[in-house]
Amino acid sequence: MTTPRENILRTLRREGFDDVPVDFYFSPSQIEAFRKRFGHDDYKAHLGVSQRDVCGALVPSFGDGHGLFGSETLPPGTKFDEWGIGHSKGSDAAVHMTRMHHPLKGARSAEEIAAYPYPVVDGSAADRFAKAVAGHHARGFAAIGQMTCTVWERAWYLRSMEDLMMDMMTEDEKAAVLFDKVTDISCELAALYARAGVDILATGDDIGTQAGTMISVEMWEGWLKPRLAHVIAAARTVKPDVIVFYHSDGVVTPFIEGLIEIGVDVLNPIQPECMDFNEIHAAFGERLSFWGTLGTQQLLPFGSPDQVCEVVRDRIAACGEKGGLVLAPTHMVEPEVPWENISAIVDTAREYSIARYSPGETDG
Amino acid sequence: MSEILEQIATCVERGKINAASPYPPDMKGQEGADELTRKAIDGGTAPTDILEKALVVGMQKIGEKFAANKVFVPDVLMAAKSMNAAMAHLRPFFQSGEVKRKGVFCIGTVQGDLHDIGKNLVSMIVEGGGWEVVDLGVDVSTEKFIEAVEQHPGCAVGLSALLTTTMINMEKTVKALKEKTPGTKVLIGGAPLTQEFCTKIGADCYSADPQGAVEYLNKLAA
Repeated sequence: MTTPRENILRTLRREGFDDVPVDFYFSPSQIEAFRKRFGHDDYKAHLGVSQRDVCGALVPSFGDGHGLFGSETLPPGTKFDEWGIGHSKGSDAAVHMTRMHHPLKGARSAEEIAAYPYPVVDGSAADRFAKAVAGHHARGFAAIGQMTCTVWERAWYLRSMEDLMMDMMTEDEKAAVLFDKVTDISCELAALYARAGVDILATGDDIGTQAGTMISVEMWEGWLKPRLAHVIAAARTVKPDVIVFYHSDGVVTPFIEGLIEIGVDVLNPIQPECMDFNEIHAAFGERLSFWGTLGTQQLLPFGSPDQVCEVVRDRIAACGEKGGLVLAPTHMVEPEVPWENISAIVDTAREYSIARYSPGETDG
Repeated sequence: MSEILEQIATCVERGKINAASPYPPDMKGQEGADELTRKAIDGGTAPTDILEKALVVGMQKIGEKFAANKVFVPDVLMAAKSMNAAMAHLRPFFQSGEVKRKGVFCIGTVQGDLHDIGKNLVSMIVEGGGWEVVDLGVDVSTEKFIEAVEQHPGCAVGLSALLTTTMINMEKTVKALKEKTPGTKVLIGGAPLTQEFCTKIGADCYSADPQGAVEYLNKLAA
């Protein structure tokens, strides 16, 4: 019998499928609602998600995070991630979201940026990753190495979008130094994941907005594409068949050809509010697979279960028998998405499972 | 329009801040919005003309190009930086009352939402449209919006949201603003929003891009 791993890898390679895979990432309040409904937290198992994450190999190189911010006073309770980026809590209404504080905002020289205490990749994580991958495989799941915010977004979070864009526009070497530092770490991490045997490498950087691309194609090609290509190559050198997933919110159509060129296999999330899935599939579906496509701005929070079913059927029909589709909300499932719409995705996807048909059954 | 005003407008549109800035490459070494504005003031050009016939013109051009996807976020940022360099020279004239702006626009991302890219872009373009912008920040409570309107009587208000969760809260803020300060014009924007939602919650204007917001505001001021 085909395992969920075998099935999802087959469909991502557009070689057909036994089941249409689904994926979900719940907000904390959705997890809480799920727990109340089912008595446990494992929504991924309940909903039949085919893959499990592998992550966490970076070790911070700083002591007290406040020391990274010079004279800037951070709100009480600010926490720091491995990169030293500060995260402070918003009002109660902001629930799980945090405000970001950029340690390299206002940095004045390339030397200052070079001297920043970047995290190091923990070499001992290799064994831990390999065990995690083996564990996921033993349970029939694919293993996905999580490293989104691969180049651009990580650099932006460190430096602030405004400062980084200014550096890029003025060809200031501060931008190159920062991007190279982040890229080196991402390359090391990508190779580590590949050595551990992950099936899928999840990369990504937001380069789209609702109305158009965030930056020009020329700027992406000059600054970001070559660096992302290095990261992908670092993984492929170790594991040539690793499937490369790339995430960017918003409109990314003008970048797709370039993404395919550097080895991206799967695009996420294809927001239907600003990208027409059928058009994208018609243009790129022979060379690219898709993960997402179910809108979290209109369809899932405000649509009916019948509308969700209709969109799911349309997506599956558009991709055809080769597959190349993992159905997923285009963003974290926020509190206002009704459970009925989540079930509608899973139930409709199951209509297309070949296991529903007994051997020898024919249509007529 | 005089030559220097045209030059300043071009510097703003192209994002040429000052002579030291290497951007844009084809204007390297030339004076930017900073030096040219100083020169214009010293040469006797009316500060109001600098605002209305140079800065507003340059920012309108970049805003229109941004709405048409001909330029991108970094281009708007550079234009805003150039505008700010020029504005620094106009500040004393705003303070003395010699130069008047079209009105006050108080903008913030609604409570529960910490996203600010869209809000910041709208702030830049609206300020470039000749408005005084009061940026209330992110995660702004309804009370804070009302307080801002009380401090700036007659101002227009902009509410931004990126998430459907916080978009829903927008309705409460609009309702409270309309009750407490009737007549206040409320503009809304953000990725998940639609004209239909704007009508439903009783806001006055929805725009998918910053230029639509400034065009609506300019009609109010006309």
